Amino acid sequence: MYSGAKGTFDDGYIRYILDTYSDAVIRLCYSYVHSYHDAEDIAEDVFCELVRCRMVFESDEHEKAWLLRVAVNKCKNHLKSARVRYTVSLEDESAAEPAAEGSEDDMLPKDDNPVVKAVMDLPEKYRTVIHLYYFEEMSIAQIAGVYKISKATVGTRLARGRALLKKRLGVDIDA
Amino acid sequence: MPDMKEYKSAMNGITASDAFKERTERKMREIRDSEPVRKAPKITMKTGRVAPLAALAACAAIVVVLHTRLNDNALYSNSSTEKSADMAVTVSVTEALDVMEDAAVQEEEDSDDIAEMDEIDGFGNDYREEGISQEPAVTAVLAEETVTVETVPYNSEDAVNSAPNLKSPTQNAKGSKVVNIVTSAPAETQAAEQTTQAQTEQNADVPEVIEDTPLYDFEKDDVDDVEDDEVYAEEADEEESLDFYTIYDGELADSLFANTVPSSGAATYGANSVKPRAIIERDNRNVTPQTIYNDYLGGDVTVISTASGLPQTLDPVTADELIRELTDIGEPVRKDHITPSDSLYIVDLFNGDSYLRAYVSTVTVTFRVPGGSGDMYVTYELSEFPSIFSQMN
Repeated sequence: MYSGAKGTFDDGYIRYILDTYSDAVIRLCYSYVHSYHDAEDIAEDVFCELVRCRMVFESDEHEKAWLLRVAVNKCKNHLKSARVRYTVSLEDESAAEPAAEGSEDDMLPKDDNPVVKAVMDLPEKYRTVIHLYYFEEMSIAQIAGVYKISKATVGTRLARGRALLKKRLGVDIDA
Repeated sequence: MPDMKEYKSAMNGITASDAFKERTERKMREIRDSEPVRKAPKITMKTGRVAPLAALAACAAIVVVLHTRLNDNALYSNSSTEKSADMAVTVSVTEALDVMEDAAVQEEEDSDDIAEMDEIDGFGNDYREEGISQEPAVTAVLAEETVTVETVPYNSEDAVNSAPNLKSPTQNAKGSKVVNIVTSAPAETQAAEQTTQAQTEQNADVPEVIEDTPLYDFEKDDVDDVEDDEVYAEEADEEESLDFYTIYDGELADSLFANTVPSSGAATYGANSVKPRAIIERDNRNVTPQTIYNDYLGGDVTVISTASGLPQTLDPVTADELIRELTDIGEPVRKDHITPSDSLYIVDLFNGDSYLRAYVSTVTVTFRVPGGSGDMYVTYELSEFPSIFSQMN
């Protein structure tokens, strides 16, 4: 909880925002775009948007929901952009090449983990709800606030996401 | 057994690097110091204050209710049921307070809606990503019933291009902005037209739009029914095709459609054609009565759907007659159902390729030709369809 004046966007508040929410925003973006570098770029845009809008939040929950919501929107825009849709990733082309020692690839989830692969292969709307619910440990109401959809819809997506995971993994997923 | 802890531990490995934080912090500072505030912070206020518009509406409601009640009281006084003026005023004020409360609540809800939209816009993103996943809805207010119908795709240019021997009727210098056709009509029709023109002069004011709010439920759960692979394609299409239409209530629609621009000019049509009385053309699309006749009325027309939920008072014989009168070709057509309202019948026609909506009132039948840049309405005298006219009277 930042104790200073949030509306002034002083250096302390900027630092607080980055320290508190950078990881969550980048992870959510990564779950969308499956690229760490793209996720970083999008996250940077998200935080810059916060300063441009001079948003003042009612609570920490509101603050987090706003950042994640903007991240979702920017990820969608990113995936819809022509640059992404009509570009072949060099990473895909050079997938067989081993990653350099100590690179960002070391921190990324490995596809050989069946659970991670199953989650990452989920359709976007189920994958992100699963991510927010299980990883960020957000409630259904909070997720509904992020996506501006009803709680029933969040519940439906959660149930369908679980069902897909069960179908792909062959077993029930325990939280 | 696999569990989500594996996923959590894997995702925990993703963290923001120090380089990212430094770079982002530097950019945020630069923006803070250089860029002006793009948008004021949104503060959602929910107070009990009655806004000026709501207060005005409430005052108007008080006047109307008082007037109505006093008139009622006068009627009661003439009858055996006596009712004091004090009682009438007391009841009226109570009702007026209810109206005020409703108006205040409505305005607060409206402001909340606007605030939500602002908030979404404040993200710097397109709020239409919120899940609009259907064609624009149309609200038709018919008498006291409200129905929601979906618009249907229609390519007017294809219809024009496919119309054989298309004759362009009277055109003005700007290129058929308004086209009016009148053929020689019997004496009764002329008398009816004179009456209509008199009504036109009387109703010179353009009717106001009653309802122009697209009824889209942003929280509708059925967005989940969209196939996953289609999500982005559909969202892209929605952004480009988002459009809203407005339909007027039955009475206003009658006056709007029936009292169109004065008739002038003349044109000759085929033996099976019906005589158009007036045309409103909202843009420069070259859609003519001949086009409509060739594309819809002269072909195999099928009534496919109508607004549901309204009482069925039109008997099947009349529906068959309507189809026969509209097609006038004796070929078999299929009738699903026709649903009338108190003052306006809505009939959707389908010729196997395109859709056409018809509004049938007691004196006119108006066809709506939807298009990307606006709808076009063509109105005919219902006397062209004698069996229907007699039935509806």
